[in-house]
Amino acid sequence: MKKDPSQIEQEFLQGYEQWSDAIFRHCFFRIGDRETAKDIVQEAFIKTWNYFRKGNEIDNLRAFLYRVANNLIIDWSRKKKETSLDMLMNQGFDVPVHEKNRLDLIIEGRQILPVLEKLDPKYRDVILMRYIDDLTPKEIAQVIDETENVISVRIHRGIAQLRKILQEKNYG
Amino acid sequence: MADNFEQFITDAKRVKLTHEEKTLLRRLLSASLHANPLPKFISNWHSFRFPAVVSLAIILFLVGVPLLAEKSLPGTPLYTVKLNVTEPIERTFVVSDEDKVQFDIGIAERRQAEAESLAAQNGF
Repeated sequence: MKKDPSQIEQEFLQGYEQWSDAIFRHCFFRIGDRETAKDIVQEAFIKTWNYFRKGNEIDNLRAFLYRVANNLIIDWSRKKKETSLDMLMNQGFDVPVHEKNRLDLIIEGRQILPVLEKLDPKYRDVILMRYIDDLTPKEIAQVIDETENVISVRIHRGIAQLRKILQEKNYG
Repeated sequence: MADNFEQFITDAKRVKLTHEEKTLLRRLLSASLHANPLPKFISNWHSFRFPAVVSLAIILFLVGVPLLAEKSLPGTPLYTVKLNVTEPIERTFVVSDEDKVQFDIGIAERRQAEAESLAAQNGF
């Protein structure tokens, strides 16, 4: 059965309340820039809304939002290939650690980004979706168009790589 | 060392939009939603489209085939429809015995006309 427009709008806004932080994280950890990440979050929600406006239905709104955000990130990185995380770090993106306490750095993601930067992007994406966004392997498979098997293998290998990086960086 | 991973995940989950950022985004989104509302009827079209197309095809078939069959001659597939479907149905609508006789005479004349058309077609 088709949902009526007010029901869709309500679910959509609930979706925003529930998942905007997670989608933002998802974007921010890949982009490394807060402002761009916010723009992409906004665009992802608007694109999803427009998809509804065309009369389409969405089974799993959360996975759909990730998928749209993911595609926007891919578009963005194609356009801005030169702006790597390295450059952001080199251009004074870093604030000297002693000026801020650890919690502030964590909330701003400055503790996290240098670790993620070392992680192979194909592992990084699935690790973030699995452990930080709490998506199931099935949902991740929907987002990046891979089989569940491939996702499970990547998660497994990703964890190993991440543990190694954390150890090297003496994280914590 | 073993809980580095857990620590990292916990830290990463703390990264989020600030209250102000979230409120501002929500406001922008609401404005966009109200400027571009969901259409009231278009969404229903999808659920009715398939049944509508199928019904239309059935109606066209039910009306079109007998109409075409009316002009058909012996030896064509539509002639069978005319003989076994259209005419018997037409006959059921004839009520009185007298009219039925008239109808049957009409049918007989029709058969004759068909025979003549066939003969003409075949050059007799």
